[in-house]
Amino acid sequence: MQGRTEGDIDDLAAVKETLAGDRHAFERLVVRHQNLIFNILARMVTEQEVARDLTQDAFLKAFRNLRQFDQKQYRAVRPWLVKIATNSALDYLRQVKSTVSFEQIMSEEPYLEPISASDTSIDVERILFVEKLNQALSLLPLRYRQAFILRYQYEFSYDEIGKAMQENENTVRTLLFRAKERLRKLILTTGKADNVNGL
Amino acid sequence: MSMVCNKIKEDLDSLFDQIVDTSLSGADAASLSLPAICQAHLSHCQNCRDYHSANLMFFEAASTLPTLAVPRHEELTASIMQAVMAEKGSDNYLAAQGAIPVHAGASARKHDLWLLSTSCLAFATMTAYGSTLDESFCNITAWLISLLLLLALKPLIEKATEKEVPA
Ligand SMILES: [Zn+2]
Repeated sequence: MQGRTEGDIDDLAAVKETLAGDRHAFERLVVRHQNLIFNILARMVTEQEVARDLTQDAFLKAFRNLRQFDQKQYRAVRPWLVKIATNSALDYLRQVKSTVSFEQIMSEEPYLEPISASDTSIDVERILFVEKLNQALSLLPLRYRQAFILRYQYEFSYDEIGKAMQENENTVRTLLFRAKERLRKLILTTGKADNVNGL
Repeated sequence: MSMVCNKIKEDLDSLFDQIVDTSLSGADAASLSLPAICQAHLSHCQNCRDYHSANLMFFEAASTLPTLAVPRHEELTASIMQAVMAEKGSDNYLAAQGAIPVHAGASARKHDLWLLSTSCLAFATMTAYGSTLDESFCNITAWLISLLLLLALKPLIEKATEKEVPA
């Protein structure tokens, strides 16, 4: 488990100051985390304007429930904010897909368009892999995608992911393992398709 | 897949976790080398080699995945803070939890309304009964009656003033 960063420490100070009545202190949390929250939400709901609205919604919920932030349980504000944002996104997805069960939302594969790779320049292999990964991620079930992004893009610890996703660490490990397996298969399949196409 | 491969993959996973975690503390991920037993296995097992290289590629690629710029990010911050500042009742909620004092302005206005109502009722009672009573008893009786009236009406007045003052 990682120690607290300077940002983590200032987050906790901002929470205390806000609770003491200085609402302006809350702005520090917004400025520091809105980009992360927006990106995580954009991965979940895919429409940027919706992700933006949900970001605002998540911060407002965080403000309203600031007293409930348990420093001992969460250690840092970041996973708590991600948890609130995730719940907001899931509420939104439940509403827009009210005909679909929650279990389906959690396990469905949102986009089924084929992964394509059009750039054939020589030094582009790595960029191409990133692009393939990016597209393959959009094919992953929501929970796998979220676990993968939090761990490998934003480098959350297992503990932080567990808190953000309200899962235990073993479940997080399982989600990550399955996410990588699926991504590997998706990318391998694309690789074979690319070879067939002469890439 | 053999039992050996499963065990090797577990070892590779924990090494991979160390790489991800140490990058957080800025340590050189490359300094973490594979245990000899893993190296020996990887030298003859294509399946585990693929697994390990996929892990490394994922990590490297994931850390360079494109991040979206928040559209109109300064506007978003301002809009969130505007909503936070406009939140009604949150201070009362926090105060109820012992975090901050009740909103001073609202409290003062409520107190003023209470004083005003008290004075009006006392004055009205005194005027109504003053003319019918002996002058020496006038003030005492009128004020006593008004006090009793006020005590009886206090809950109603409080309810009315609560509606006038935003929480
Ligand atoms: Zn093997």
